[in-house]
Amino acid sequence: MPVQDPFALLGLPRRFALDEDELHRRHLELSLRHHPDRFVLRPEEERLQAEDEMARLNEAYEILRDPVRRAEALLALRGLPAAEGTDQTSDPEFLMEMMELKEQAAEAAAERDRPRLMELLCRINVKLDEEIAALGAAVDRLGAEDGPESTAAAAARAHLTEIAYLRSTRDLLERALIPA
Amino acid sequence: MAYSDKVIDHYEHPRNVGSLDKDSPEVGTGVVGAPECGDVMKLQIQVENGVIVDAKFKTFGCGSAIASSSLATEWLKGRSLDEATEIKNSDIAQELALPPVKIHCSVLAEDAIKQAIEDYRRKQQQRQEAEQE
Repeated sequence: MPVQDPFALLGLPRRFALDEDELHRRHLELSLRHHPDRFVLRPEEERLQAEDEMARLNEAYEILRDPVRRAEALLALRGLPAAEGTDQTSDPEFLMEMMELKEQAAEAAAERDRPRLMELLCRINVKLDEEIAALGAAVDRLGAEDGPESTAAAAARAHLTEIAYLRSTRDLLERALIPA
Repeated sequence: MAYSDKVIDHYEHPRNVGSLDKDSPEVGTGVVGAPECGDVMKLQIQVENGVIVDAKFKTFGCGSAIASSSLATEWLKGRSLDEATEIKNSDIAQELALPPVKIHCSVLAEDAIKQAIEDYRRKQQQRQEAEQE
């Protein structure tokens, strides 16, 4: 069941900057109101409706909690699709840098070099935080008139792309750090 | 979704994994990525007298991406540059019986081949220009 507008569903302003406490509070309030336990004695139709509502609320909550999914939702609401297919936008140097980062990660993983893996993970997490902050700034800069070709939209897509590479590298490192 | 036997074979026994010297004038390097999943693929060719004598790859991605690039390096060896440009993603996808959701992996391999050839030709041109000066 697709969530149309997670911001509207949880009664939050449609923007990247988010008050996390407010998000948790809204989610809890609405969950209590629609919790299926309150509908056990109600007709089946109402019960099913409450279940649907609960599922939508949980999905919206998960989307808003994740900064990347939150940014993607904002772009989608403006009719700006996320990047897909093969990467035509990133410059080759950036891709090469990502390749080398992954090579270092794979090497450290093969050698079970935990200090090195931790060091790389820290570096990537720092970069990820920077990229997510930059993504948020780009998304909140988007004006109503900005189309898919606008600078702000292109910047947002570029940050999303970089985050995808960083996250997949982070997953590689985390898998290597968890003892089998 | 089940991988085909050929994908599994390439995944378990990848051919030509490794790197060539990217600074060598005889080597062309292509690096491509898939922005939605963060996969990256590096494909390199070594060329002598217009013929690809060696090809290596390194891919961080799913089994289909690894199989596509592994197969690509096998096909590249012994081909001329013009013959190499004839390798199409649809040939790779067909050979590996890739399902529709994995077609982009074969596109990645085709793009990597094109970039590697372009990189090699650019280097050769630069060398020629340098010699003329």
